[in-house]
Amino acid sequence: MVNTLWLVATAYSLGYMISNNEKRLGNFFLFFSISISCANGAALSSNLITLFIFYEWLTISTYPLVTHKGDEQSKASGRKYLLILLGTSLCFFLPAIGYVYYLSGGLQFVDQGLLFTNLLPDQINHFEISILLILFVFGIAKAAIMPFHSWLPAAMVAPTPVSALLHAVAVVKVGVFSIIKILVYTFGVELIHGLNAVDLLVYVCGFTIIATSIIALKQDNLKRLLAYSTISQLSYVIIAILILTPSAIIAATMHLIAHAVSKITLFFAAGAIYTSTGFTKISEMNGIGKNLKVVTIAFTLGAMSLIGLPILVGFTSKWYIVQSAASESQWIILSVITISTLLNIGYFTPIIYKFFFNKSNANKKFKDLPLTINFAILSCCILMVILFLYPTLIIEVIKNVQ
Amino acid sequence: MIEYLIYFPILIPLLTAIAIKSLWPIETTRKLILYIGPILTLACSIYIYDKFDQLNSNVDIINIFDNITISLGIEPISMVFSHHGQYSMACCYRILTWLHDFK
Repeated sequence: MVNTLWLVATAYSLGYMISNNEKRLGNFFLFFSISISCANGAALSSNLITLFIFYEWLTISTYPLVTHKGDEQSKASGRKYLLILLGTSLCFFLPAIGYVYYLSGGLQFVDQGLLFTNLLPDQINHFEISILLILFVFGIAKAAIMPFHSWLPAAMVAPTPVSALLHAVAVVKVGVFSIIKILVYTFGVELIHGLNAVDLLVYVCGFTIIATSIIALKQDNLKRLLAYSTISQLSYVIIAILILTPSAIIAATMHLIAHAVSKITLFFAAGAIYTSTGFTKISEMNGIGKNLKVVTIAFTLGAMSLIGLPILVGFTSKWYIVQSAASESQWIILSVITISTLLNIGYFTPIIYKFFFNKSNANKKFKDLPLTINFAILSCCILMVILFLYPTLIIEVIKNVQ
Repeated sequence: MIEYLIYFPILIPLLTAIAIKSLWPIETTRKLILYIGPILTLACSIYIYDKFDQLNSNVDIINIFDNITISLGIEPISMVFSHHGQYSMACCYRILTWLHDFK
Protein backbone atom coordinates (compact mmCIF):
# COMPACT_ATOMS: atom_id res chain seq x y z
CA MET A 1 0.00 0.00 0.00
CA VAL A 2 2.75 2.44 1.01
CA ASN A 3 4.77 1.75 -2.12
CA THR A 4 1.79 1.93 -4.50
CA LEU A 5 0.67 5.25 -3.05
CA TRP A 6 4.26 6.56 -3.01
CA LEU A 7 4.35 6.32 -6.81
CA VAL A 8 1.06 8.20 -7.15
CA ALA A 9 2.07 10.75 -4.49
CA THR A 10 5.37 11.40 -6.30
CA ALA A 11 3.56 12.21 -9.55
CA TYR A 12 1.18 14.49 -7.67
CA SER A 13 3.91 16.18 -5.60
CA LEU A 14 5.96 17.04 -8.67
CA GLY A 15 2.99 18.79 -10.30
CA TYR A 16 1.88 20.49 -7.08
CA MET A 17 5.26 21.76 -5.94
CA ILE A 18 6.21 23.19 -9.34
CA SER A 19 2.75 24.75 -9.93
CA ASN A 20 2.79 26.47 -6.54
CA ASN A 21 6.40 27.64 -6.90
CA GLU A 22 7.41 25.82 -3.73
CA LYS A 23 11.11 26.17 -2.89
CA ARG A 24 13.67 23.56 -1.81
CA LEU A 25 12.30 20.73 -3.93
CA GLY A 26 15.46 18.67 -3.43
CA ASN A 27 15.04 18.69 0.35
CA PHE A 28 11.33 17.96 0.02
CA PHE A 29 11.82 14.83 -2.07
CA LEU A 30 14.85 13.77 0.00
CA PHE A 31 12.82 13.60 3.22
CA PHE A 32 9.80 12.25 1.34
CA SER A 33 11.88 9.22 0.24
CA ILE A 34 13.46 8.75 3.66
CA SER A 35 10.06 8.71 5.32
CA ILE A 36 8.87 6.01 2.89
CA SER A 37 11.96 3.99 3.76
CA CYS A 38 11.11 4.32 7.47
CA ALA A 39 7.47 3.35 6.86
CA ASN A 40 8.62 0.22 5.02
CA GLY A 41 11.05 -0.53 7.83
CA ALA A 42 8.33 -0.27 10.46
CA ALA A 43 6.00 -2.49 8.41
CA LEU A 44 8.65 -5.17 7.89
CA SER A 45 10.18 -5.10 11.37
CA SER A 46 10.59 -8.41 13.12
CA ASN A 47 10.80 -7.14 16.68
CA LEU A 48 9.71 -4.30 18.91
CA ILE A 49 13.03 -2.48 19.04
CA THR A 50 13.34 -2.39 15.24
CA LEU A 51 9.76 -1.13 15.05
CA PHE A 52 10.57 1.55 17.63
CA ILE A 53 13.71 2.69 15.80
CA PHE A 54 11.90 3.06 12.45
CA TYR A 55 8.95 4.69 14.23
CA GLU A 56 11.25 7.37 15.68
CA TRP A 57 13.18 7.86 12.44
CA LEU A 58 9.86 8.39 10.68
CA THR A 59 8.96 11.16 13.14
CA ILE A 60 12.32 12.85 12.63
CA SER A 61 12.33 12.47 8.84
CA THR A 62 8.84 13.95 8.47
CA TYR A 63 9.63 16.97 10.69
CA PRO A 64 11.40 18.87 7.85
CA LEU A 65 8.37 18.16 5.65
CA VAL A 66 5.97 19.66 8.20
CA THR A 67 8.14 22.77 8.56
CA HIS A 68 8.86 22.97 4.80
CA LYS A 69 7.36 26.45 4.38
CA GLY A 70 9.78 27.77 7.01
CA ASP A 71 7.43 30.45 8.42
CA GLU A 72 6.66 30.92 12.11
CA GLN A 73 3.38 29.00 11.96
CA SER A 74 4.94 25.93 10.38
CA LYS A 75 7.84 26.03 12.87
CA ALA A 76 5.37 26.16 15.78
CA SER A 77 3.42 23.26 14.27
CA GLY A 78 6.66 21.35 13.78
CA ARG A 79 7.56 21.83 17.45
CA LYS A 80 4.13 20.53 18.48
CA TYR A 81 4.53 17.60 16.07
CA LEU A 82 7.89 16.61 17.55
CA LEU A 83 6.87 17.24 21.14
CA ILE A 84 3.77 15.03 21.01
CA LEU A 85 5.17 12.23 18.86
CA LEU A 86 8.59 11.99 20.49
CA GLY A 87 7.23 12.76 23.96
CA THR A 88 4.63 9.99 23.94
CA SER A 89 6.96 7.43 22.40
CA LEU A 90 9.73 8.14 24.91
CA CYS A 91 7.40 8.37 27.91
CA PHE A 92 5.07 5.46 27.11
CA PHE A 93 6.21 3.38 24.11
CA LEU A 94 9.84 2.86 25.16
CA PRO A 95 9.07 1.93 28.80
CA ALA A 96 6.40 -0.47 27.49
CA ILE A 97 9.03 -2.16 25.29
CA GLY A 98 11.32 -2.42 28.31
CA TYR A 99 8.51 -3.96 30.33
CA VAL A 100 7.77 -6.52 27.60
CA TYR A 101 11.46 -7.46 27.70
CA TYR A 102 11.31 -7.71 31.46
CA LEU A 103 8.23 -9.95 31.38
CA SER A 104 9.11 -12.20 28.45
CA GLY A 105 12.89 -11.96 28.01
CA GLY A 106 12.52 -11.11 24.32
CA LEU A 107 11.17 -8.58 21.88
CA GLN A 108 10.47 -10.71 18.80
CA PHE A 109 7.07 -10.70 17.10
CA VAL A 110 5.62 -14.18 17.55
CA ASP A 111 2.62 -15.60 15.66
CA GLN A 112 0.46 -16.33 18.72
CA GLY A 113 1.78 -13.34 20.64
CA LEU A 114 5.11 -13.12 22.47
CA LEU A 115 3.59 -12.62 25.93
CA PHE A 116 0.88 -15.22 25.37
CA THR A 117 3.42 -17.90 24.42
CA ASN A 118 6.19 -16.96 26.89
CA LEU A 119 4.19 -16.39 30.05
CA LEU A 120 2.92 -19.30 32.13
CA PRO A 121 -0.73 -19.00 33.24
CA ASP A 122 0.29 -18.18 36.84
CA GLN A 123 2.68 -15.47 35.59
CA ILE A 124 -0.09 -13.57 33.84
CA ASN A 125 -1.10 -10.53 35.85
CA HIS A 126 -4.12 -8.89 34.21
CA PHE A 127 -3.38 -5.54 35.83
CA GLU A 128 0.18 -5.50 34.42
CA ILE A 129 -1.03 -6.53 30.96
CA SER A 130 -3.70 -3.81 31.05
CA ILE A 131 -1.15 -1.12 31.96
CA LEU A 132 1.15 -2.39 29.23
CA LEU A 133 -1.66 -2.29 26.66
CA ILE A 134 -2.55 1.30 27.59
CA LEU A 135 1.12 2.34 27.46
CA PHE A 136 1.45 0.94 23.93
CA VAL A 137 -1.79 2.40 22.59
CA PHE A 138 -1.13 5.91 23.96
CA GLY A 139 2.62 5.67 23.33
CA ILE A 140 1.97 5.25 19.64
CA ALA A 141 0.58 8.77 19.19
CA LYS A 142 0.85 8.46 15.41
CA ALA A 143 -2.51 6.65 15.70
CA ALA A 144 -3.83 10.00 17.00
CA ILE A 145 -6.13 8.73 19.74
CA MET A 146 -7.41 11.50 21.99
CA PRO A 147 -5.82 13.24 23.92
CA PHE A 148 -2.67 12.86 21.77
CA HIS A 149 -4.27 13.89 18.48
CA SER A 150 -3.57 17.62 18.22
CA TRP A 151 -0.32 17.21 16.25
CA LEU A 152 -2.35 16.09 13.24
CA PRO A 153 -4.48 19.22 12.60
CA ALA A 154 -1.41 21.34 13.50
CA ALA A 155 0.64 19.59 10.81
CA MET A 156 -1.82 20.85 8.18
CA VAL A 157 0.36 23.91 7.60
CA ALA A 158 2.59 21.71 5.44
CA PRO A 159 2.17 21.54 1.63
CA THR A 160 -0.74 19.30 0.55
CA PRO A 161 1.43 16.39 -0.71
CA VAL A 162 2.91 16.25 2.80
CA SER A 163 -0.56 16.20 4.31
CA ALA A 164 -1.42 13.35 1.96
CA LEU A 165 1.75 11.55 2.96
CA LEU A 166 1.09 12.11 6.67
CA HIS A 167 -2.58 11.15 6.55
CA ALA A 168 -2.73 8.44 3.97
CA VAL A 169 0.62 6.89 3.19
CA ALA A 170 3.18 6.97 5.93
CA VAL A 171 2.80 8.46 9.38
CA VAL A 172 -0.67 7.67 10.66
CA LYS A 173 -0.72 4.30 8.95
CA VAL A 174 2.52 3.32 10.64
CA GLY A 175 0.90 4.28 13.94
CA VAL A 176 -2.19 2.16 13.48
CA PHE A 177 -0.29 -0.69 11.84
CA SER A 178 2.15 -0.74 14.77
CA ILE A 179 -0.76 -1.07 17.19
CA ILE A 180 -2.22 -3.95 15.15
CA LYS A 181 1.19 -5.63 15.05
CA ILE A 182 1.77 -5.24 18.79
CA LEU A 183 -1.70 -6.45 19.76
CA VAL A 184 -1.44 -9.53 17.56
CA TYR A 185 2.25 -10.45 17.74
CA THR A 186 3.37 -9.10 21.12
CA PHE A 187 0.30 -9.61 23.30
CA GLY A 188 -1.64 -12.23 21.36
CA VAL A 189 -5.36 -11.81 20.87
CA GLU A 190 -6.23 -14.47 23.46
CA LEU A 191 -4.19 -12.77 26.18
CA ILE A 192 -6.03 -9.46 26.01
CA HIS A 193 -9.49 -10.92 25.47
CA GLY A 194 -11.79 -9.83 28.30
CA LEU A 195 -9.41 -7.28 29.86
CA ASN A 196 -11.00 -4.16 31.35
CA ALA A 197 -8.39 -2.10 29.54
CA VAL A 198 -9.86 -3.26 26.22
CA ASP A 199 -13.29 -1.91 27.23
CA LEU A 200 -11.66 1.34 28.35
CA LEU A 201 -9.89 1.69 25.00
CA VAL A 202 -13.15 1.00 23.14
CA TYR A 203 -14.75 3.92 25.04
CA VAL A 204 -11.76 6.20 24.39
CA CYS A 205 -11.76 5.33 20.66
CA GLY A 206 -15.55 5.70 20.49
CA PHE A 207 -15.28 9.13 22.11
CA THR A 208 -12.45 10.07 19.71
CA ILE A 209 -14.55 9.05 16.70
CA ILE A 210 -17.62 11.04 17.70
CA ALA A 211 -15.84 14.07 19.22
CA THR A 212 -13.55 14.61 16.21
CA SER A 213 -16.45 14.13 13.78
CA ILE A 214 -18.36 16.86 15.66
CA ILE A 215 -15.27 19.13 15.56
CA ALA A 216 -14.98 18.42 11.80
CA LEU A 217 -18.56 19.70 11.33
CA LYS A 218 -17.43 23.18 12.44
CA GLN A 219 -14.31 23.46 10.29
CA ASP A 220 -14.09 25.92 7.43
CA ASN A 221 -10.54 25.05 6.41
CA LEU A 222 -10.78 22.01 4.13
CA LYS A 223 -7.48 20.45 5.15
CA ARG A 224 -8.24 20.80 8.86
CA LEU A 225 -11.64 19.16 8.29
CA LEU A 226 -9.88 16.27 6.56
CA ALA A 227 -7.41 16.07 9.46
CA TYR A 228 -10.21 15.66 12.00
CA SER A 229 -11.86 13.13 9.71
CA THR A 230 -8.57 11.20 9.70
CA ILE A 231 -8.39 11.12 13.50
CA SER A 232 -11.92 9.71 13.53
CA GLN A 233 -11.19 7.10 10.84
CA LEU A 234 -8.01 5.92 12.58
CA SER A 235 -9.99 5.20 15.72
CA TYR A 236 -12.36 3.15 13.53
CA VAL A 237 -9.44 0.87 12.77
CA ILE A 238 -8.40 0.56 16.42
CA ILE A 239 -11.96 0.00 17.64
CA ALA A 240 -12.30 -2.74 15.00
CA ILE A 241 -9.13 -4.50 16.21
CA LEU A 242 -10.44 -4.36 19.76
CA ILE A 243 -13.32 -6.66 18.77
CA LEU A 244 -10.46 -9.20 18.90
CA THR A 245 -11.65 -11.76 16.38
CA PRO A 246 -9.77 -12.85 13.23
CA SER A 247 -12.51 -11.38 11.00
CA ALA A 248 -12.34 -8.07 12.91
CA ILE A 249 -8.56 -7.88 12.43
CA ILE A 250 -9.07 -8.44 8.69
CA ALA A 251 -11.77 -5.74 8.72
CA ALA A 252 -9.48 -3.32 10.57
CA THR A 253 -6.59 -3.87 8.16
CA MET A 254 -8.97 -3.52 5.24
CA HIS A 255 -10.27 -0.21 6.60
CA LEU A 256 -6.66 0.93 6.97
CA ILE A 257 -6.18 0.46 3.23
CA ALA A 258 -9.63 1.81 2.31
CA HIS A 259 -9.02 4.95 4.35
CA ALA A 260 -5.56 5.40 2.83
CA VAL A 261 -6.86 5.37 -0.74
CA SER A 262 -9.96 7.46 0.02
CA LYS A 263 -8.15 10.07 2.12
CA ILE A 264 -5.28 10.49 -0.32
CA THR A 265 -7.91 11.18 -3.02
CA LEU A 266 -9.52 13.83 -0.80
CA PHE A 267 -6.19 15.51 -0.05
CA PHE A 268 -5.13 15.41 -3.69
CA ALA A 269 -8.45 17.07 -4.59
CA ALA A 270 -8.00 19.71 -1.84
CA GLY A 271 -4.48 20.43 -3.12
CA ALA A 272 -5.69 20.63 -6.71
CA ILE A 273 -8.39 23.15 -5.71
CA TYR A 274 -5.70 25.23 -3.97
CA THR A 275 -3.37 25.01 -6.98
CA SER A 276 -6.10 26.06 -9.40
CA THR A 277 -7.91 28.69 -7.32
CA GLY A 278 -5.86 29.43 -4.21
CA PHE A 279 -8.89 28.52 -2.06
CA THR A 280 -8.32 26.81 1.27
CA LYS A 281 -11.64 27.61 2.96
CA ILE A 282 -14.81 25.67 2.23
CA SER A 283 -16.85 28.89 2.31
CA GLU A 284 -14.88 30.14 -0.73
CA MET A 285 -15.52 27.05 -2.86
CA ASN A 286 -18.98 27.90 -4.20
CA GLY A 287 -19.68 26.46 -7.64
CA ILE A 288 -16.13 25.34 -8.40
CA GLY A 289 -17.52 22.02 -9.68
CA LYS A 290 -18.31 23.66 -13.03
CA ASN A 291 -14.66 24.50 -13.69
CA LEU A 292 -12.92 21.71 -11.80
CA LYS A 293 -15.05 18.72 -12.80
CA VAL A 294 -12.45 15.95 -12.39
CA VAL A 295 -11.22 17.26 -9.05
CA THR A 296 -14.64 17.83 -7.48
CA ILE A 297 -15.99 14.48 -8.72
CA ALA A 298 -12.91 12.80 -7.26
CA PHE A 299 -13.52 14.61 -3.96
CA THR A 300 -17.13 13.42 -4.01
CA LEU A 301 -16.03 9.84 -4.64
CA GLY A 302 -13.48 10.01 -1.80
CA ALA A 303 -16.13 11.40 0.55
CA MET A 304 -18.61 8.71 -0.52
CA SER A 305 -16.01 6.05 0.15
CA LEU A 306 -15.35 7.35 3.67
CA ILE A 307 -19.09 7.58 4.35
CA GLY A 308 -19.27 3.93 3.29
CA LEU A 309 -21.34 4.02 0.12
CA PRO A 310 -21.22 1.11 -2.35
CA ILE A 311 -19.07 0.88 -5.48
CA LEU A 312 -16.20 2.26 -3.42
CA VAL A 313 -13.74 0.46 -1.16
CA GLY A 314 -14.88 2.29 2.01
CA PHE A 315 -18.18 0.42 1.84
CA THR A 316 -16.46 -2.97 1.88
CA SER A 317 -14.27 -2.22 4.89
CA LYS A 318 -17.12 -0.62 6.85
CA TRP A 319 -19.32 -3.59 6.03
CA TYR A 320 -16.70 -6.00 7.40
CA ILE A 321 -16.32 -3.95 10.59
CA VAL A 322 -20.09 -3.81 11.13
CA GLN A 323 -20.38 -7.54 10.43
CA SER A 324 -17.61 -8.37 12.94
CA ALA A 325 -19.10 -6.08 15.60
CA ALA A 326 -22.60 -7.53 15.12
CA SER A 327 -21.37 -11.15 15.29
CA GLU A 328 -19.72 -10.40 18.66
CA SER A 329 -22.74 -8.39 19.91
CA GLN A 330 -20.59 -5.26 20.27
CA TRP A 331 -23.51 -2.83 20.34
CA ILE A 332 -21.44 0.12 21.56
CA ILE A 333 -19.12 -0.19 18.57
CA LEU A 334 -22.10 -0.54 16.22
CA SER A 335 -23.73 2.58 17.70
CA VAL A 336 -20.50 4.57 17.42
CA ILE A 337 -20.09 3.56 13.77
CA THR A 338 -23.70 4.48 12.99
CA ILE A 339 -23.49 7.89 14.68
CA SER A 340 -20.13 8.57 13.05
CA THR A 341 -21.46 7.64 9.60
CA LEU A 342 -24.25 10.19 10.06
CA LEU A 343 -21.69 12.78 11.14
CA ASN A 344 -19.55 11.92 8.07
CA ILE A 345 -22.57 12.64 5.90
CA GLY A 346 -23.07 15.82 7.92
CA TYR A 347 -19.62 17.28 7.22
CA PHE A 348 -19.09 16.03 3.66
CA THR A 349 -22.45 16.77 1.99
CA PRO A 350 -22.39 20.58 2.54
CA ILE A 351 -19.01 20.69 0.77
CA ILE A 352 -20.28 18.65 -2.18
CA TYR A 353 -23.40 20.83 -2.31
CA LYS A 354 -21.22 23.96 -2.45
CA PHE A 355 -19.14 22.48 -5.28
CA PHE A 356 -22.04 21.65 -7.57
CA PHE A 357 -25.14 23.65 -6.57
CA ASN A 358 -24.01 27.03 -5.20
CA LYS A 359 -23.43 29.93 -7.59
CA SER A 360 -19.81 30.56 -8.42
CA ASN A 361 -17.93 33.84 -8.52
CA ALA A 362 -17.92 34.69 -12.26
CA ASN A 363 -14.75 36.80 -11.99
CA LYS A 364 -12.67 34.02 -10.51
CA LYS A 365 -9.95 32.73 -12.83
CA PHE A 366 -8.99 29.07 -12.68
CA LYS A 367 -5.42 27.99 -13.33
CA ASP A 368 -4.96 24.86 -15.47
CA LEU A 369 -3.82 21.85 -13.50
CA PRO A 370 -0.70 19.92 -14.50
CA LEU A 371 -1.26 16.52 -16.09
CA THR A 372 0.47 14.73 -13.19
CA ILE A 373 -2.08 16.08 -10.68
CA ASN A 374 -5.02 14.88 -12.77
CA PHE A 375 -3.27 11.53 -13.36
CA ALA A 376 -2.72 11.00 -9.61
CA ILE A 377 -6.32 11.90 -8.75
CA LEU A 378 -7.77 9.63 -11.44
CA SER A 379 -5.48 6.75 -10.41
CA CYS A 380 -6.76 6.97 -6.83
CA CYS A 381 -10.39 7.01 -8.00
CA ILE A 382 -9.81 3.92 -10.14
CA LEU A 383 -8.08 2.22 -7.20
CA MET A 384 -11.08 2.92 -4.93
CA VAL A 385 -13.41 1.20 -7.41
CA ILE A 386 -11.05 -1.72 -8.18
CA LEU A 387 -10.61 -2.50 -4.49
CA PHE A 388 -14.39 -2.49 -4.07
CA LEU A 389 -14.88 -4.85 -7.01
CA TYR A 390 -11.99 -7.14 -6.01
CA PRO A 391 -11.74 -7.04 -2.20
CA THR A 392 -10.04 -10.44 -2.35
CA LEU A 393 -6.92 -8.60 -3.57
CA ILE A 394 -6.60 -7.17 -0.05
CA ILE A 395 -8.14 -10.00 1.95
CA GLU A 396 -5.78 -12.66 0.53
CA VAL A 397 -2.74 -10.56 1.43
CA ILE A 398 -4.03 -9.87 4.95
CA LYS A 399 -4.83 -13.55 5.51
CA ASN A 400 -1.33 -14.54 4.40
CA VAL A 401 0.18 -12.04 6.81
CA GLN A 402 -1.95 -13.41 9.62
CA MET B 1 21.07 -13.98 -0.26
CA ILE B 2 17.31 -14.33 -0.64
CA GLU B 3 16.66 -13.30 2.99
CA TYR B 4 18.34 -9.94 2.34
CA LEU B 5 15.68 -9.13 -0.26
CA ILE B 6 13.42 -8.03 2.58
CA TYR B 7 15.75 -5.06 3.17
CA PHE B 8 15.36 -3.78 -0.38
CA PRO B 9 12.06 -1.87 0.18
CA ILE B 10 13.94 0.05 2.90
CA LEU B 11 17.20 0.50 1.00
CA ILE B 12 15.76 1.56 -2.37
CA PRO B 13 13.94 4.67 -0.99
CA LEU B 14 17.12 5.54 0.95
CA LEU B 15 19.22 5.24 -2.21
CA THR B 16 16.58 7.29 -4.02
CA ALA B 17 16.94 9.96 -1.34
CA ILE B 18 20.73 10.01 -1.74
CA ALA B 19 20.38 10.18 -5.54
CA ILE B 20 17.86 13.03 -5.27
CA LYS B 21 20.17 15.03 -3.05
CA SER B 22 23.29 14.47 -5.10
CA LEU B 23 21.76 14.73 -8.60
CA TRP B 24 18.91 17.17 -7.97
CA PRO B 25 20.00 20.15 -10.06
CA ILE B 26 20.32 18.03 -13.18
CA GLU B 27 16.90 18.41 -14.80
CA THR B 28 17.02 15.30 -17.02
CA THR B 29 17.83 12.91 -14.21
CA ARG B 30 15.40 14.48 -11.75
CA LYS B 31 12.14 12.99 -12.97
CA LEU B 32 13.85 9.71 -13.78
CA ILE B 33 15.05 9.24 -10.19
CA LEU B 34 11.76 10.38 -8.69
CA TYR B 35 9.82 7.75 -10.59
CA ILE B 36 12.40 4.94 -10.67
CA GLY B 37 12.63 4.81 -6.86
CA PRO B 38 8.91 4.12 -6.24
CA ILE B 39 8.63 1.76 -9.24
CA LEU B 40 11.62 -0.32 -8.10
CA THR B 41 10.37 -0.41 -4.49
CA LEU B 42 6.90 -1.47 -5.59
CA ALA B 43 8.30 -4.13 -7.93
CA CYS B 44 10.57 -5.39 -5.17
CA SER B 45 7.70 -5.60 -2.65
CA ILE B 46 5.55 -7.52 -5.14
CA TYR B 47 8.47 -9.88 -5.90
CA ILE B 48 9.07 -10.53 -2.21
CA TYR B 49 5.38 -11.26 -1.67
CA ASP B 50 5.32 -13.54 -4.70
CA LYS B 51 8.53 -15.32 -3.72
CA PHE B 52 7.66 -16.05 -0.11
CA ASP B 53 3.90 -16.26 -0.68
CA GLN B 54 3.51 -14.01 2.34
CA LEU B 55 4.84 -10.73 3.65
CA ASN B 56 7.61 -11.97 5.92
CA SER B 57 8.57 -9.48 8.57
CA ASN B 58 12.24 -10.23 9.02
CA VAL B 59 13.87 -6.84 9.30
CA ASP B 60 16.00 -6.86 12.43
CA ILE B 61 18.09 -3.76 12.79
CA ILE B 62 19.74 -4.97 16.00
CA ASN B 63 21.07 -7.97 14.10
CA ILE B 64 22.65 -5.63 11.56
CA PHE B 65 24.19 -3.50 14.32
CA ASP B 66 25.44 -6.70 15.98
CA ASN B 67 27.15 -7.79 12.77
CA ILE B 68 28.78 -4.39 12.42
CA THR B 69 29.95 -4.21 16.03
CA ILE B 70 31.25 -7.79 15.95
CA SER B 71 33.17 -7.08 12.74
CA LEU B 72 34.68 -4.03 14.46
CA GLY B 73 35.72 -6.23 17.36
CA ILE B 74 33.32 -4.57 19.81
CA GLU B 75 30.80 -6.33 22.03
CA PRO B 76 27.47 -6.91 20.16
CA ILE B 77 25.02 -4.08 20.75
CA SER B 78 22.26 -6.52 21.72
CA MET B 79 24.26 -7.28 24.89
CA VAL B 80 23.39 -3.77 25.99
CA PHE B 81 19.83 -4.89 26.51
CA SER B 82 20.69 -7.74 28.81
CA HIS B 83 23.91 -6.89 30.66
CA HIS B 84 24.77 -3.23 30.80
CA GLY B 85 23.01 -0.25 32.26
CA GLN B 86 24.55 2.57 30.25
CA TYR B 87 21.93 2.85 27.53
CA SER B 88 18.30 3.81 27.69
CA MET B 89 16.78 0.38 27.14
CA ALA B 90 18.86 -1.13 29.87
CA CYS B 91 18.00 1.81 32.13
CA CYS B 92 14.31 1.26 31.52
CA TYR B 93 14.75 -2.41 32.27
CA ARG B 94 16.52 -1.64 35.56
CA ILE B 95 13.87 0.88 36.60
CA LEU B 96 11.04 -1.53 35.81
CA THR B 97 12.77 -4.34 37.68
CA TRP B 98 13.17 -2.05 40.68
CA LEU B 99 9.53 -0.96 40.49
CA HIS B 100 8.40 -4.55 40.25
CA ASP B 101 10.48 -5.62 43.26
CA PHE B 102 9.30 -2.58 45.19
CA LYS B 103 5.66 -3.50 44.50
